Amino acid sequence: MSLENIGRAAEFLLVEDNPGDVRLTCEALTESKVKNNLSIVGDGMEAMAFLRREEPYTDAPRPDVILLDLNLPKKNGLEVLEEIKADPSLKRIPVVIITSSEAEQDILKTYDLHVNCYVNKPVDLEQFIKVVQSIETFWLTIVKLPSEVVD
Amino acid sequence: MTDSNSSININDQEITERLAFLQLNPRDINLLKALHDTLKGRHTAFIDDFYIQLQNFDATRNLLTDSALVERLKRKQEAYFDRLTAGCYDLDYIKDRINIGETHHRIGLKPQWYIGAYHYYLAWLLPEIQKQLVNDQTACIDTMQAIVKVILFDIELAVDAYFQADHEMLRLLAQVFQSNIEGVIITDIRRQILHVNNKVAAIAGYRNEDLIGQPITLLLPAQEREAFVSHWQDIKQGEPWQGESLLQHCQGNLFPAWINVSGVKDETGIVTHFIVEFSDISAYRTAQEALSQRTEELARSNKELEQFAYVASHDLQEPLRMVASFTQLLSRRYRGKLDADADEFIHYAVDGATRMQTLINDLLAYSRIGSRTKPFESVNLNSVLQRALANLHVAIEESHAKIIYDELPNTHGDITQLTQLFQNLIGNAVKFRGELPPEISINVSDADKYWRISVQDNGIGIATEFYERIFVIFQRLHNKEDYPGTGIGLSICKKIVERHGGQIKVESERGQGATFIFTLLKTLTKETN
Ligand code: HEM
Repeated sequence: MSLENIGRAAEFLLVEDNPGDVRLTCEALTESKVKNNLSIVGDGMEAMAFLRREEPYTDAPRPDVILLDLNLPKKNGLEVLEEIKADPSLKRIPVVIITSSEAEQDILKTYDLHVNCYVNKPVDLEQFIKVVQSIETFWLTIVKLPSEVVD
Repeated sequence: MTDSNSSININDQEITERLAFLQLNPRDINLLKALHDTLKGRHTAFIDDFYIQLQNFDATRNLLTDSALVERLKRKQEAYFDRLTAGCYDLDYIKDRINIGETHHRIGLKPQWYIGAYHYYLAWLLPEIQKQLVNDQTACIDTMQAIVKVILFDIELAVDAYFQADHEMLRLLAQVFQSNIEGVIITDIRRQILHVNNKVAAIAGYRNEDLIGQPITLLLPAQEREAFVSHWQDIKQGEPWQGESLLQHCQGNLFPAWINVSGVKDETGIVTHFIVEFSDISAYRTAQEALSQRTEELARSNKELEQFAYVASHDLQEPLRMVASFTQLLSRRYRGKLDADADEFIHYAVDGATRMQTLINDLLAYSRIGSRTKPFESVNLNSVLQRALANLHVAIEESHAKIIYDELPNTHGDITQLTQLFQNLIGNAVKFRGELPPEISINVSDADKYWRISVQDNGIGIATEFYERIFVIFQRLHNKEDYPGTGIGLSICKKIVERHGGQIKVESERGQGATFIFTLLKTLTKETN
């Protein structure tokens, strides 16, 4: 059993400041077969406010998967990741880093902070769409998510 | 007589003058001639006896060890003594005597032995004369006087020869002393200046006569004198000293000099004089400083350039990714839905953006070689090669390439970069193949401080005029349809090799295959970049 079988749309939170990338991600997800909602925030502070349902995100849904860019204004991706993983109420939400950084230290650092996976933004559109769809397929149709489990 | 090198200038007039001073008169000549007739053929006994005497002294015995020489000498001496009383003391006679003197000088016979040897001759000859002229006392005394006069004349000529030969040496040495490169100062043992050459004046500003008699410390600024105290001690013991020091110009300004100080020893090995040689190295220093400054600047600007290339390529990637992605999206969504022109425009936009992406990626890879590096570690080149071959296995299989290689050594370096080096070179050999399946051979040889590694193929080869160009970034020899690529591979190879302290070159002929040869430093003391 996986998310697509539980009868509601999957919730994605995309933390990304580049509108182009936001749009590309949207495009990739609209072509998707799985029903999903995509929420978007543009910096790290907003991301934390969204997750903690602070103003103006008091009605925000709890995401099933977070797509997090590293290079963010105000609070960068590493800090956001660290806060999520330090917060008992958030730490179970899978975080996928999606970034153009290939720096070794970024890869190692994020895994040290318990990231769930680290993906490079492919430069080619086809590849990009494929990657976003793979992420979606993997997280929404293959893995078992904590949000499926009623505790 | 054979021609001598002698530069002695004795003319007829001087001969006449010398003989007049010796009061050698016609009567003397007649008496000598009379004596000459009675001595004919009688010198042999004396000469044999003379050689026995010469065996008694080390200095003379040591010159006569060769018996063949002695026999030759005896005959020559006989001729010599014969000519002594022959009564003809012309230019030819004089040249002969000077030649003999030069011979003695050349073999290192000191004049005292030659002059002293006349004693043996006189000891034999005078009693002979007395016996012959026992009845004519005047003739007897006069003959003896005459023979002494010609012997003195010969001695004069011998001394001339000795002086002249030494003088010649001095003339030559004086020229050396007047060096145009170095200031040379000779001091006595108390370091008082005895001689200076003209260059001293040119460098230090003094007139020669201002220096003679002065202590050598005149040229040393106060702060350097301390250091020289111990140098002088060593030099006195016979150890020359060489080094750099500041010297003081007569106007007070200091200049850097390269200095050599040595002691001159006498025969017993005791230092009696000092020779101080020095050259002004200000110009050299200035040039050196300028050079190191330029090198530093160059390194900095190189670093900056690398940084720039990295930042540029990294930061350009983001907006470019947008251009590429959205033109691709345009093409995906609207191809065939607008008119034919639109399709074509979109095609060129996508193509341009994609090409630029590849170029920027390559530039990024290139700039990373110098800027984002791991420290060198010990590397087994065999496993490096295996890794490169594994990365290339698809291309190798598809082309049916045959690859043979030597056992490779261990070295120091950056494993990732060395793998890339092999991968690029072998990859090129596969890519630029000819009609036949590629045959690639990788060989190693020992080249002193380096390993020399060659990658040889049987591909299309490279014409001589492109040997340099192929290593320049983004330089390509073929059109993109035949051989795709940005032309970055070999410039990356070059940068990797240079970072490992080596060099890379190609040897090839068009159509004959190519051999890429690179060297790697066996031991790296520190990274070369
Ligand atoms: C009055 C004394 C001397 C006379 C008249 C005399 C004469 C000569 C003559 C005529 C020559 C031949 C030069 C030539 O080939 O042009 C000669 C060469 C030589 N003399 Fe004397 N000499 C005398 C004293 C000595 C003494 C004391 C020695 C000590 C060993 C000596 C050693 C030699 C030697 C070794 C050579 C041969 C040099 C050579 O050709 O390598 N001579 N001498």
